[in-house]
Amino acid sequence: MSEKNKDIALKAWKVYQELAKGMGESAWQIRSIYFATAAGLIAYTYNSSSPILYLLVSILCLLFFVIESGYRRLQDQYIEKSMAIERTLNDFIANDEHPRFPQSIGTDVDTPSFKSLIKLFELKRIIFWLPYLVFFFLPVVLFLLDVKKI
Amino acid sequence: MISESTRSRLRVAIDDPDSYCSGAKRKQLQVTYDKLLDELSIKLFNEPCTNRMMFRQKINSTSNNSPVFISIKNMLRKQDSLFSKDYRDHSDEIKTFLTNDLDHFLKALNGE
Repeated sequence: MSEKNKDIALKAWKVYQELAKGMGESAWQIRSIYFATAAGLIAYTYNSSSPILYLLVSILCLLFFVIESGYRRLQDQYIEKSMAIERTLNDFIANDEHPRFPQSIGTDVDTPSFKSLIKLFELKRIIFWLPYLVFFFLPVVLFLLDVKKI
Repeated sequence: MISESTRSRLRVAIDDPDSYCSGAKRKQLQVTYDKLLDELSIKLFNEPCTNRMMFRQKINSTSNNSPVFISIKNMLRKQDSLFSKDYRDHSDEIKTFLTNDLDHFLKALNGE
């Protein structure tokens, strides 16, 4: 029975890892699409002499941030599930008499909440939010300074 | 079973868990905890604790079911929260570990 439980835990852990990895890759794709678009748009705006277009980069920044943060929050939930299984596996390795199991094993996750969005702004996650922050304010500064090709 | 300096350092952390959830004090607590395991390992198995998991395996393989051993087993089960490094906030888990598992162990050691 114990061996069977160990197999179940291992299989569930692999599934959670794959899901978390998939979410992470999607988030990075969204991020790279935004930064490529933003860089192109800034260059175009500079050449076109219409600084108002800079603000489009900031608006896009908000939209892409919302999409990526959704994926990140889903990824966080799968990471949490994966960690719960890691506790089980560690208990097996430690020859624990009664290994801890999560309440249930499943791939269902909660809808990303506003509270989890706020958590993404922690200092620990600066790599996530700092580029968006820069790309939100930089176009505004460029617009206010009326930066354009003379 | 453990030295007075280790016991008093752990007691300070248990009495003020909020301060020991992050930063330099958390690192101090980690070092003190490792020292605790080392002292326990020398006392119980006549060898220093080089690996927390292996120490846990040894403890779990003993058939001793005294209150002290049960509290050690429970403490070792939850020790991971003290050393977690991921993005999540571990303050609540560390507080629970200190005020529940570690405190119970020290009390069991005192025979309370």
